[in-house]
Amino acid sequence: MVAVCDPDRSLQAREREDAARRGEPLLTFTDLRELYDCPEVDAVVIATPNHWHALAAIWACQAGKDVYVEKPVSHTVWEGRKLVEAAARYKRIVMAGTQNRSNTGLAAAIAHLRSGALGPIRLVRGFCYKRRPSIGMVRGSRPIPPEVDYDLWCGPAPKGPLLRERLHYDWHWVWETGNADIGNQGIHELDMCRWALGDPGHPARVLSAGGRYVYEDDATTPNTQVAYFEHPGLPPVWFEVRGLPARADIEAMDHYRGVRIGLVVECEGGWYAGGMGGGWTYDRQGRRLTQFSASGTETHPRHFVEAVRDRDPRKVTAPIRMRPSLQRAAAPGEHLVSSRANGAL
Amino acid sequence: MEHFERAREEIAALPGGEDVFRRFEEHLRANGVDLEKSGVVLGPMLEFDGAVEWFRGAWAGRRANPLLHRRDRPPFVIPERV
Repeated sequence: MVAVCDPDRSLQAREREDAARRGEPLLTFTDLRELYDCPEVDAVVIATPNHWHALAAIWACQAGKDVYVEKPVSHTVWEGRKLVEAAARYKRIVMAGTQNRSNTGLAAAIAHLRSGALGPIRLVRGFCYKRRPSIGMVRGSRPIPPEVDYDLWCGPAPKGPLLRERLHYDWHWVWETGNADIGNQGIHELDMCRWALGDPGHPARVLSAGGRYVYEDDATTPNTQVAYFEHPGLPPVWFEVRGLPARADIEAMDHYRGVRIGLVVECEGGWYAGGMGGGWTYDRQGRRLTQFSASGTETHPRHFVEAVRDRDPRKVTAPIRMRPSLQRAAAPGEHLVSSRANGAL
Repeated sequence: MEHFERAREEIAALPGGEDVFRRFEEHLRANGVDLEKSGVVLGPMLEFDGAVEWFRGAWAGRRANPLLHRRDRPPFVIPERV
């Protein structure tokens, strides 16, 4: 690692201290455009808030850097397309942080299902049952931490007052910077659903419903959601997001056939239930048939490094082309849900 | 915000939707949500033309397609031609 860039100088300091403990030199930057001017940098890992992903990746391509960009690779559909164009134009290696694409156990499970081992696939269900507490409610705007360059932090998003307690992380739950949990943790599981369908293009029809229930807080995104994706000639996909627990008096989350975060693929002769941690196939009576272990996810960054080193895009296990398709097509329905909730439409 | 009965009707009409909405409703009631009062935010069925990455149909023009794009704050702007 040559350099880190963060508009929060306290995080730069933390990285500098870690590097010093390892006895390694480390350049630090506040503005990523200065980092991109740095000739020692060959490739970048983009782990900014979502509203910065596409622009940061496009600027990197234009500067001749290869890119590993966290999911979702873009905040909107249009900018995802622009990133695909930039990667092609500048001939850069660009890989998405959907690390399950390097999970050989999941790949084997999906190949098994797609071979027809359980008969034709009838329905694909994705799940993101992940506890998300309230982010609280502030009275008026909050001060920006002095160590943060707020203009750079906001970047392409509106530079408005901070109307929540915590600047970091909770940007996920505000539309100007985040994509709700369907576009956060849910991206991994939506990607698995799309993989199970054989990586089709965009869905032809999408519908979303839900709301932000129980909490009255500063977040604007739903904490409970169901979304439907229809690809012509393929089984339907249902995606479910739950941020609330199974019951009001406990913290444990619901599950569907044992899955809280993952997917269930329903076939004529049984089903698969699993995800990044592995899974099983079952017959129609619910008897376990075949186990698929989890393995290989940790190799995902290595595949990026190998692709960069060998200038070989075939080694990219999670290409961005069409990576945004199901994920990003999810967002418009999602946005529409939220905007209507806010009375903006 | 729609009445939850309307959301139920629309979602239950989709393949697999009846079960999805039943569990959605049970989950919220288990969390003390009064769905008759709170309602459900129900988006319309959006038709997407993947070839041009653009919505078509009744909801496309004024509501759905603007959400495919964001007006960036200068100078942090993704150009039309990258």
